[in-house]
Amino acid sequence: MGYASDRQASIRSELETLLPCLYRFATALTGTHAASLQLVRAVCKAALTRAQREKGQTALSLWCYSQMHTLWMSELATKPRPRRQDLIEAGLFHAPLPGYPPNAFSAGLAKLIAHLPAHQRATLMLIYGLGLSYDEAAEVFGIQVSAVMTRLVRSHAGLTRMLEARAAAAQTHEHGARSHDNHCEFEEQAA
Amino acid sequence: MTQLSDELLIAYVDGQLDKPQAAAVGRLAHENPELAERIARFRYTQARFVDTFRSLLRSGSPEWCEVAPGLELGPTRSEGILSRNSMIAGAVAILGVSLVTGLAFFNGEKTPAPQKVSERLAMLETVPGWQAEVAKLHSFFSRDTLALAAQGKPSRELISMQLGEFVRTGKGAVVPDFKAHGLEVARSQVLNYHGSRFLQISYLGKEEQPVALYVMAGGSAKPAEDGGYENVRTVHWEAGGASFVIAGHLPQEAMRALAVVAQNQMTPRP
Repeated sequence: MGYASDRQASIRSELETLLPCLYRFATALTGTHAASLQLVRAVCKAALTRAQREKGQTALSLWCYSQMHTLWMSELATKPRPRRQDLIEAGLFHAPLPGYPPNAFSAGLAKLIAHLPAHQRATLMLIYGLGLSYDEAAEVFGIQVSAVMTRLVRSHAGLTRMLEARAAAAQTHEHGARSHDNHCEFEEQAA
Repeated sequence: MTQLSDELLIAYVDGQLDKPQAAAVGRLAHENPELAERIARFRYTQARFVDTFRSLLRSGSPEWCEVAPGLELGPTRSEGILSRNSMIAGAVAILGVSLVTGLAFFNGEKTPAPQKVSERLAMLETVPGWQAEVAKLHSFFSRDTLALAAQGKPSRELISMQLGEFVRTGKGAVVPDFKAHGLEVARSQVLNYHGSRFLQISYLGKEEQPVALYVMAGGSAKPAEDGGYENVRTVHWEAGGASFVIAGHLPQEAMRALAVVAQNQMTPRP
């Protein structure tokens, strides 16, 4: 063991296993399917050519996420005026949740996630989807752990606001329905 | 209002605090209902995020499969998959395909776009004779091959997702568990046989040579049959739209027993 070809075969095999995770992290960063595929391809090529001499003791997955983030930031930097949320595909974040009707809450949540800033979305994916620790996420983005925590607080706050708005809307609807029922009852009595 | 920040409480809910810190927050929450309510709110939002992002990762739609053809993430030559005869047959096949493609080009026909892996898997019929080739492949496979993989712990969830792609459940599939037989999952990898992908899940015991379960999409329902090559004993069967081979350097009876365990565990319960 230890030959370059063996190591590359090992990286290749590990990449195969990592593909779903890489793709999902890429969707969180880019917000579109096409850009995600390009990004995953780019990072896989980088891994196959450079990972064995660059990554040292870092796990391949972390190295790939970190490279992916760097590549995406470089890509954004080349654009004259980065477009914000207009191209984000909310469907990429739509996952039916157990215990909820598939198109009500989960669609709202997908929309909320799609409209979060890319860095917040990517942080959520790393921590809640891929199960990374705060330290690892900070390493991927090259930032302080406190910045990771701030991103999480903002995302939680966004979801709390959405839940409150839904609760308020449901209450109004219920109140409206109840007053409509009362009105009908009153009309029946009058008749 | 309690002085503890939202950052700290979310870190507590996410299990990212040190034990003493977490214990201190827990104690405070026990004494302070307002704090307990804030924690409960964060637990709720955290659960929604976890459900969503985990569901996305588990979702059956294999969009990421489109990445693989562009990368040619197949086995390398050093993995010794094919025998010399198979390689010659492969070369002849490639020459044939090149010739046909060339003729089509000169006839002005448009070269078809490469097929997505997901589509290929859906259309695939099992490549004839792959079970016998798998036995040959397995004869090259030793504990040393898995030495690197043995250093890291494989993610069962990811292997389950990979297996799900091959058995076409559209979600994760049950990865056979041979712990009772002294075998632990060591690695899974996707390999290539004549352009068709198949999954190899390797298991290692304390001393024995590895045992591997090979899965290829395609196939109907065929009962288990014995096979082998040199010292390698195999059992192969087809079920649920996939073809399976279990191979190892164990006696045929032992391989049959493992095949029965795998079949039982992978059969969906009503």
